[in-house]
Amino acid sequence: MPEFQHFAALPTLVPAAFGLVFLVFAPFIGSDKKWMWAFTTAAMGLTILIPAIILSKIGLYGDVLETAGVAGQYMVRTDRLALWLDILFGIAGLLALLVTPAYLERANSHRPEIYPLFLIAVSGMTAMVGSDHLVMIFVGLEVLSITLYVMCGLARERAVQVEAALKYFLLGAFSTSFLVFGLALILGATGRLDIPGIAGAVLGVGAGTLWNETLLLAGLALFLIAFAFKVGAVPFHFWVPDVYQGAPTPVTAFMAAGTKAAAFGVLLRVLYAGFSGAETIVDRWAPVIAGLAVATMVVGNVLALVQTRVKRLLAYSSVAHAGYLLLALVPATSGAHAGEIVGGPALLFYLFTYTFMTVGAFIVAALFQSDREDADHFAQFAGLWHRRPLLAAAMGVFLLSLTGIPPLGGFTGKYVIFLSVLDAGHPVLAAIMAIAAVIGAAYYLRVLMLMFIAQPEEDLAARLVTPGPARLALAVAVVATFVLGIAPFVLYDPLLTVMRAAAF
Amino acid sequence: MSQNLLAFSVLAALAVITPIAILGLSYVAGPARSRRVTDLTPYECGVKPYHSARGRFSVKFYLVAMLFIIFDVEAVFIYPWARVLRERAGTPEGWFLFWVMMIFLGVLTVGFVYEWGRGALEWDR
Amino acid sequence: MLTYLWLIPLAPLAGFLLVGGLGMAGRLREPWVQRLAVAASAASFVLAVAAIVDFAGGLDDERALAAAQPDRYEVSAAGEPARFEITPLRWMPIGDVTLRGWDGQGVRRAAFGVNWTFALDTLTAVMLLVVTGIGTLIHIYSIGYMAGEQGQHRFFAYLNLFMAMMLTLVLAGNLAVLFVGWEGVGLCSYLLIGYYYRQVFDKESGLTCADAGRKAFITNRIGDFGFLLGMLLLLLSFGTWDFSELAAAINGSSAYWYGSVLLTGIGVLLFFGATGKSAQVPLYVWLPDAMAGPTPVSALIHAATMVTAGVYMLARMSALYWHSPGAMFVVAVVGCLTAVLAATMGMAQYDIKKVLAYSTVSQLGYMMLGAGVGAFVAAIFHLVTHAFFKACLFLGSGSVIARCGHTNDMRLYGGLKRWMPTTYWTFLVSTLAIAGLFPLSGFMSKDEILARTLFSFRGSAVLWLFGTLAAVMTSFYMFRAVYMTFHGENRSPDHVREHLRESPPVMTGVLVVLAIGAAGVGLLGVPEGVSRLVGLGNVNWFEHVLHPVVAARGVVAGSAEAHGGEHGAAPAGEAGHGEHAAAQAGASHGEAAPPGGYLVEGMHHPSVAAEAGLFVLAFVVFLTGFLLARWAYGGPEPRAEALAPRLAYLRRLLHRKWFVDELYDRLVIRPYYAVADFFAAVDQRIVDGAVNLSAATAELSGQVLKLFGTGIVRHYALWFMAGAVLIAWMMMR
Repeated sequence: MPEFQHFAALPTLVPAAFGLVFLVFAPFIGSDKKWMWAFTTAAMGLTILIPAIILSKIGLYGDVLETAGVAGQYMVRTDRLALWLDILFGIAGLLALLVTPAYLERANSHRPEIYPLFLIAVSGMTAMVGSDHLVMIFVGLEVLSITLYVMCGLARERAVQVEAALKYFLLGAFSTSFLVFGLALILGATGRLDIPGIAGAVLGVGAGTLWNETLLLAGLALFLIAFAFKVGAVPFHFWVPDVYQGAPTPVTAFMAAGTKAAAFGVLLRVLYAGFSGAETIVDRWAPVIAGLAVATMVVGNVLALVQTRVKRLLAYSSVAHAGYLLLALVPATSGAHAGEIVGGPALLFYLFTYTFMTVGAFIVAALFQSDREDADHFAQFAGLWHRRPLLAAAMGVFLLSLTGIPPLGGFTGKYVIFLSVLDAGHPVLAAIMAIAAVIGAAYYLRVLMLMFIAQPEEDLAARLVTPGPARLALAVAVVATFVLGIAPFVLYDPLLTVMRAAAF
Repeated sequence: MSQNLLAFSVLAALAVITPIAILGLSYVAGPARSRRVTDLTPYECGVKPYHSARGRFSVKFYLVAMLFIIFDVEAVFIYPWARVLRERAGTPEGWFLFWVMMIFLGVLTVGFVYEWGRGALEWDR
Repeated sequence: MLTYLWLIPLAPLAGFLLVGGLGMAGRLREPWVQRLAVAASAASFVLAVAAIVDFAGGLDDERALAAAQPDRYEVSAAGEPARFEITPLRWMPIGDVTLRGWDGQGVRRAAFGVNWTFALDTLTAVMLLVVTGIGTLIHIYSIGYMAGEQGQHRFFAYLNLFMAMMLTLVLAGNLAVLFVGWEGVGLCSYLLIGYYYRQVFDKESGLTCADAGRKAFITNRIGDFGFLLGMLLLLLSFGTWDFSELAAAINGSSAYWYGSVLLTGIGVLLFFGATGKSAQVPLYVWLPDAMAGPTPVSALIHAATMVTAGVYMLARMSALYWHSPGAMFVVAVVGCLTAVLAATMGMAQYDIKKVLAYSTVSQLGYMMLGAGVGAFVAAIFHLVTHAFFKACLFLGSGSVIARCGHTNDMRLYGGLKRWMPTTYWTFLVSTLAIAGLFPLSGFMSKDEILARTLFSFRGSAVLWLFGTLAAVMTSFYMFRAVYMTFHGENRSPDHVREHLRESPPVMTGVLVVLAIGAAGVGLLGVPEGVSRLVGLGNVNWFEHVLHPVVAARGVVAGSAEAHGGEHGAAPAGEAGHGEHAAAQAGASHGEAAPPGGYLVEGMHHPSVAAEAGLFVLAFVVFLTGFLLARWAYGGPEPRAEALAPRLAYLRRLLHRKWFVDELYDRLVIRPYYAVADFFAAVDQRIVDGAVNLSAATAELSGQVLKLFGTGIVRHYALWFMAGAVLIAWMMMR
């Protein structure tokens, strides 16, 4: 039995344990009990703290903590990549949790289960990124996905939520089948499901020793399709607007940031560590990623242009951002790092900035929730500046950041991705990214203009309440957006070391 | 299009052939169809069906069935585990296996308590 | 304390945020607005003094610190002039830049990043004391001046922001940070000039204060264009914006850079930026109009601090200018021209603040002249003395304006000596100082600049002659202002005269402090020529402290020892370091220059008789201006009025400022508008059309793509499948 480093699994176990314990109590308490929310929030804080502590100490254990599982293969792999993403999941969960009570109250939906479910979803995410075994990744993905299906449809009496949950579930199951079949093919081709084993087999392609390369490629294709679905890449994006629109807004915020980060974390790890070993293999998947990225950026931005509801607009914006993120995954074509993904740190940095700005924007949208169907319609945001200057200012910061205006985090995020794409030797992709971002500016600015220039049609804003925790969440997101824009190095410098230990 | 593709082709072919074979076999090997009305009724004698078999029945049946299947399948896991545990009983690895299953059962219990608490097991709610 | 250097600009910034934020929210009452703002400014003064005391006490602790944290701290080597750098923030990690090999070291990639670096050396220390000290005094004065105004929080918040920006500028350790301060002070200047934005300040043209602010800002931006080009050329040549690295790079290959066309181009471009900020020909036109701002603003920004930023920048970049005689010549000529031109304009103004404004432009010209002939120390010294006497003059004029019904017109003053004795005496002391009466501060600094102009290898007798001419005019227009304001009969309207009285102590106290400074601060830098006259050695403490920072360095080895002794200006102990290492050519001692040496720094050394002659000449200059003014304006019936018709043409020419504004209007502004109109048409018809077309295209494709989002899961699965097939094909083809 290989040596155990038990606390390698802590980032997954802690939220899972707390989530399960709290879940037991959920049916037995009234909806007005605040303690469930308080405890979950505290537990979510802990799930940020634990990876942070491990991160500060990880060098002491040699950069990678691992826990063995089936057949002596390592199932849990906790390295800097995993730990940073764990922190991100915690942040996304925490920010979403802070606004959830306010949302539930306004939506008149009282289900305390939603709190522990956040924790369980986070445990799924951490399991995904904290492993180099495809089975573990699959298990994590399923824990996450099933939890999200439930969270989306928690308010069974609301038709839109049920519709969202069912659509998400059906299409999710569809994509899962692709994933499982892909894993089967990869296993068939290489005999392994752990990434080091796959990487060895891929090296074998280069050496001409792997006989069934086609099987491997087919498996990888199915794997990519499944994850393209998870990140909402075009043409697998159709679920995104419907689900984001229908789901409870805090859940949407959490999904937009957390799920995306988890899926990209896995893609980065698998492609970087597993499938970069042979030029012939890289030459196959690199154009796929690039093509997905281009289609996603362009279609996402163009579709966002014609939306009239804020949540839907943010959903399409989320699709577009998935495109930018995919760009960071396109490997370099030449130079010292040919065939290697050079955009790792940029990708992670962008995920962080994206988390703060998109969760922030969704939080503002969540505060608009009411029993009315059109609560997030553009018209409701008109003249927000005259009613709620601080709220409008916060939303303005998020939207400007999403647009990519300096000195906000969104700008530095786009900037580092842009640079990494250029570094990788893809000027055309970089140019397309710039054009897509310009298209994107139009719809964010449209909302901004509405908020700041238009006069309010009716006084919905006057009925807005912004409770303390939601204010805290907004303040944190605004400050973080500014900090990442003005002093990006506080995050970017540590991230530069992330990829060092991510390969084997 | 080399030998590489062979394995994949075989697999793909199987994926197509298998469902066709199953459907086809049931058509070929199944009992011959009868055109008589009485053959199509569930029972040729006894109580007459008084409405369509495609009628709706309470969603609670599905719920109970689903819950049953979940616990049923989980329970199946315990058999191989019990056998392995007996071989390794007393060793440190045995205790490890023991606690792993306890955690698993704990998670299961959480689910059970939750559904009970939510009233999923109460027919009349 | 040095490690807390970054707190110095942060204190007024905090003041700005507090005063501005709370004031805007209406949570801060007037007395607290004033107290907070003054406290913020005073805090930065205290911090600056503490830092400088620590700095003067040696850098040994800091050197250990720098060894431990090389990313954060940097201390100059033991032999170098003391310099302490702190980088509290990394800022823009840009990555690599391609250097074109213009520095003769081949095309190469170099790492480049901009950090938020603050640096302290003696040059910065001097500027720090001037900015925080005089800044704080003017804050205090403003309490009295602004009394009773509505919405003071705006004024004090801007004033604090200005302090923060100016301190950023002088503390900057690299050009990027300097540029932040440079633009920041420009912004504050704009905001404060337009403080009374609705008020018409120029009745002839009907321009509002907001227009004046815009004029200042736009003129500055024109200069900044050159400045930015210079910065970018520097970056492409050296791959760094860090001052000490730039200096090291230039001094390190001195022989290569000396007289380089590239360096001259950069120097002229940077100086073009300085002509905007420091109001030199051809971009000085904004400064007289900037008088639309409240008078304390004129004193702080448009006399004592911001407008001297250009001079400071030249001194900061002295390594570059030493290696470019061409750029220095341009600086000297422009400075001299400005000094003369502005002085002529100052002689014919009736607006007391405009007199002082043209005087400021003229004095800034002196500073530029000093920098241009290589007398950087003298230029900075004049900056310091000028800060005192000109701040005092402006504040004195503010005191008068506030009491005379807020009119600037000197024709409505007269005889104010009777009512405002403190204002009068302080104004008089400062006038004597600026006019150059020994031993007041203005004499010390101006005499030093003129002497250097005459004797430095970079100077010339022609420049000196014009400089002296301007000095005569300076004396004249200043005494003209004194006579018109404080002497003779009072010409105010009756309702004003009834209420004439001295300003409150909070204002006069500041005036007294500044007047004492204007009188005494010159003793810190007694010119060598003067001290030699009375048999003292070189007692120029200012030069001793400052010279190492701005000295020419890195010239051809071997010349330092050979010629160190010939430069009496060098403090004895430092000659060996080679700061004065000036290989010489041509001139009096030049025959001894080693072959291949370069003329970098140095001067002819006049005889004692020549020094004495200059000393007497300076007095004659002072007296000439004084007596002319007394003759023309001193009597009960000013002879100037009688003379006016005969000199009408000249008067009109000077009063209308040589018609420069009109010239710019014809030559620049109207053609500019014509071009702008043309491009506006192009923009609206063609460019906007293209933009609208592409926007419509995007919108349309959005509408089309929207059709695919049917909301039906089966359709989604179908597209999913199509995508899957496509990807599978791409992967397996």
